[in-house]
Amino acid sequence: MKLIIKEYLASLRERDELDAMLPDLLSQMGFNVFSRPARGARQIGVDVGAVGSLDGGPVKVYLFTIKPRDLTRSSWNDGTAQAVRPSLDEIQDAYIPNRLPTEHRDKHIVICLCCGGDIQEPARELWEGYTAQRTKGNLSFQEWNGDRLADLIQEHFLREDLLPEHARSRLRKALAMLDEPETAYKHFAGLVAALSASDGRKDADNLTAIRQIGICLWILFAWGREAGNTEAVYRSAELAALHGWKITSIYTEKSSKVANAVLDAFMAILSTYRQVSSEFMARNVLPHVSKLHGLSSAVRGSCHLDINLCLFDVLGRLSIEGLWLYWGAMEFPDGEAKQQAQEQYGACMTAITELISNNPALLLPAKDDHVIDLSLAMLLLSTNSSFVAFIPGWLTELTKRCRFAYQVHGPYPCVLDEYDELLEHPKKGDADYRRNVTNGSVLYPVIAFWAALFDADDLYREIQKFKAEDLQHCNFQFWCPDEGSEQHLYTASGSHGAVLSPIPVERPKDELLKQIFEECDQTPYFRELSANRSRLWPLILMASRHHRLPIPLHFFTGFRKVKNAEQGDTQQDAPTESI
Amino acid sequence: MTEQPDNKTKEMLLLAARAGNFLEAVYAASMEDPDERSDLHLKVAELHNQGLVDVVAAFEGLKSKSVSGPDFFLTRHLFEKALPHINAPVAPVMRCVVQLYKDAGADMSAGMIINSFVEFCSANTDRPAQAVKEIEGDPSGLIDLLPGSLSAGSRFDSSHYLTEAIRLARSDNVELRRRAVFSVGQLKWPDDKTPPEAALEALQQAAADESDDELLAAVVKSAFYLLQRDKAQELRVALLLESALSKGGDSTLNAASQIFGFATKDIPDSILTVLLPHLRRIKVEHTGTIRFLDYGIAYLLKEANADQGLELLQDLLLTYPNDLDLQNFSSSLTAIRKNKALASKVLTRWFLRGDIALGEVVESIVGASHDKPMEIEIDAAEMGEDSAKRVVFVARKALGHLLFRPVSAAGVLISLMRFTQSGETRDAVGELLFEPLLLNYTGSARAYVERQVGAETEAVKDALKVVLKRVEEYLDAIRSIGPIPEFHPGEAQRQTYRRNQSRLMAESMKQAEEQSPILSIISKSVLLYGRKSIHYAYGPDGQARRAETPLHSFGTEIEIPRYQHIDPFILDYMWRVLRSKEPLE
Repeated sequence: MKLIIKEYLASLRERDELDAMLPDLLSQMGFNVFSRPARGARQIGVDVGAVGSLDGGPVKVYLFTIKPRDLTRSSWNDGTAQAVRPSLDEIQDAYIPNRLPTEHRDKHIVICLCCGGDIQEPARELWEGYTAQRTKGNLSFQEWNGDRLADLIQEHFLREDLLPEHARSRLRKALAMLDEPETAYKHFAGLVAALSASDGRKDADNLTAIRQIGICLWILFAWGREAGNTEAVYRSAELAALHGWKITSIYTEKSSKVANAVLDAFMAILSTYRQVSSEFMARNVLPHVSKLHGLSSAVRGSCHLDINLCLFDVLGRLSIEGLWLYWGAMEFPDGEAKQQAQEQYGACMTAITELISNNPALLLPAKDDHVIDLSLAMLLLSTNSSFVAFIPGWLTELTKRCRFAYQVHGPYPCVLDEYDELLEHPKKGDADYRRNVTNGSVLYPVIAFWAALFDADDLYREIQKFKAEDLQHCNFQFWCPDEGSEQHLYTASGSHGAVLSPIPVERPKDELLKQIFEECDQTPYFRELSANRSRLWPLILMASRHHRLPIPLHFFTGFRKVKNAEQGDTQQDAPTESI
Repeated sequence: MTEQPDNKTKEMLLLAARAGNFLEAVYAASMEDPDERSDLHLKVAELHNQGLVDVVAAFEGLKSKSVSGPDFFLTRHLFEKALPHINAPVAPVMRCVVQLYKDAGADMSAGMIINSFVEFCSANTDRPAQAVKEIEGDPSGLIDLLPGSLSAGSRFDSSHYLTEAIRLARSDNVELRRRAVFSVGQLKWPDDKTPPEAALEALQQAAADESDDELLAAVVKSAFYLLQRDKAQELRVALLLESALSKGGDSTLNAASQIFGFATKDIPDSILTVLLPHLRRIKVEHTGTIRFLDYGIAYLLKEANADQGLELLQDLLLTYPNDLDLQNFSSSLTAIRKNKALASKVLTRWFLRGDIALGEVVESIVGASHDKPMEIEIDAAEMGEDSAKRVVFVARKALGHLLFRPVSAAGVLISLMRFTQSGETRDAVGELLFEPLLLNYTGSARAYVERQVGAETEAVKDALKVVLKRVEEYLDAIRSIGPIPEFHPGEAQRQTYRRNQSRLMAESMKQAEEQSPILSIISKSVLLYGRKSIHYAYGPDGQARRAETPLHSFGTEIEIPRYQHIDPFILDYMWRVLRSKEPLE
């Protein structure tokens, strides 16, 4: 296990990685972390500052300067602002006299060089010479290399009583099977499920568990990145965030120290997830969406089904990424982060339209449950008037294809889910089979709902006609949360939610909207979801996508208000309140 | 042959006859001489003529459905050879011959015994008349021998037997009338003489008076045979055929189709003009008749008047768009396929029409070649006007019907680009060449286009280069992506897919084997290991001989359209739309 952790540490980059892990580790060790890495602010050499007792010794102040990977002769003092020696000088010259919290000025100060790898021999002489010259009564230096960090992680996160062998075994198996993402994910999911079982657990144990999830996720991420395959990492990150929220939701309305620590640990996991997602998109999706059939060809599938399943999954992931960016653009305070989120959110929507335009598999879903990915894309694009106009053309072509495929017993969307069944689908000419596999649908009523909401009358009529002439047997339905959803939504630990059916698409669109929105208004369960109350509503969408539940239509109620306010004109940006 | 073996054979047969297994002995003796060099049949005839064995009676007992007896056809064949040499009363011979003829059922060699009977009758001047008398006495039993009897008699006295035939053509018995009319065409005339006027008059009378379909069929056949002997009667025969065909039904059409199929080269244009409109009335379920048409059409396409053959074929295909089995037109389609100019003409003409049935036949013609794709072009003369509408129409049809024959489709599109003088039209065709054709087939079709570039005019060359450049850019963009392992299907999915495909291939293989005539008559042994087979075969001498057979591997390559994976819906939809019946005008 130590080798695994060392490998992980050695691969970490400074920004948002090694310096994100260290504060959690120090907190877990019982330290009080008074200074965390911050973007933009001048750090004067100190990345992390903490005070505490190490191995039962006296309480000291530990000031960390963090460098990723190995410390080499060149990175010791290469003349750049990121070189080690200047950072150490800054700490002594500027940070200690001016920035050190007053209450700690009388304590012994330890300046720590923290690196993910080792100090290489050419640099070691320099380090030891430097530290020998400057060590004095209340100032000393320590080397926290990858080996030491790995020991501390093992000691404080992964030892037997904190993480039993069977759980560590799952982590090892997940790492070993990264080339088979499904298997790696299953092992990691088992690990996360075991860690997040918080019923009756003490607060301190919950805190440890959520930090453990974070560390394990980071280890998985580092290894996945090295292996060149982050598929399992992406799914695991989603799951980790959702399970992390399950633990955190207990503490959202508390203000104790442990509650804050749990929230910090959750935000670290969320940050990791965001980084995983962002890197996934940047490496695998965004550079290729503008290429005709580019991503379709990249699937290297045996058949069109592989391409269809993969691309709708990508659509859903890209949409979630965009929705998180939208959330950031709404929630972040003014500054660099907000601006970056706004720019990336726009780029994401452009990418979605290009993805759909260049990959025709996205014009005909293989499964009805692809409505989840469709809805996410529709939700994101609807937030911006420049992009909402793309949707009717897309959905109209999609509906026409669905209908034509249905009529000629082609590959029409069905309720089947198992891969082997989908391979056999459809059974040509078998009307009974066709009726059975289309006996329910969320896809078409969602399209009708969007069409009604955004006045795409032709599209609405297309769905009406399809229902009347071909799909009389099909139960059009929506899913909505109920009283059990808070407990089960994030972790899919049980069945929950209610189905509203039949959806009366044969009625005029205003009647359809009225019925749906009345249902949304009357039931409080959506509003009372902890993710909603905490203004982390994208978590609900993540849960829908990950656990394959239709997204609650409550997310669209904001557009109703815009429509009402502007007397039918929906062609404008969505409101700043949550969707 | 020496006397002693002759005697031995006859003794053996005589003994067998006395023992009650004469036929078995005859069969066994004939098996010892598979090349038929001996005169066994003469021995058999001698036995009869010497009164030692009633061979006729013996062979009347030969049954086709006997489980333990001698082989029916091989034994009967011996009698066929012996009969012309046998001296026997006509009546029992007739009963025997009829028995052996009917028992042969629908076998193609069933009628051979009749020929032997004709030879029998021809050996004695009295026999034909006796035969005719016997037939008149028992028409239901012996009617099948009437044409042969009259034909044999005409070798002695053609006038008399023509008179007999004409007389019988007026009989009250329709079966007699049918056979008699047919016999008119079977009579033998001296080489230096044409058939008398009375023969044709009799047929004209029958055509005018009769409405029986089989009788009218006989009129058609006999009239044609008379024409072969007297070309001067062409006009009268044409009118006669028109009269018979106008009244006749399926049998008459079948008779006409047989003439059309087997004697095409002997049919004058005036007769062909009469036959062709009626041949279009043939019912599609009469596959035998259809095959006769196929032979005739194939001849016209190869040797004589291709347009006439094409028109007939086209009319049949359009009359029965969903019911005609193209396998019944294998000769015609082969004739088209082997003649590149004709194939181009057919393709162009039928694509311009827009009919799906005709397009499917073009598919069949082009697709018949399994090893090398057929390189084919349009026929400029058939194209006619160089209008954008026509050119693009043919291009779309070519894609609709040849989408899965990419090299052939590319050839057609390039030839259209060459044909048109309009740059805009050329670009429109070039666009179709790019998508859907080359985007789907970046292998064989692209290689073909690259090869063709050098041979084209500047205008076409430029247009092709633009298309090829776009394809290259498309592929470069895809190649630039590199592997994205995150998107690859997992092992479980790959294995499920492989199992599914394996099952489908096994089912397909089984269906194909069931249709193979070879595999249905041979036994199959499966070898589990190794690359050669060693076996021992036992010769006639009882000695075992070792033989080694090396095994060979066989493979084939199929290029699947790219859209099959990327967008199967549009591939299917486009295929339907491009093929759909849409008239040019």
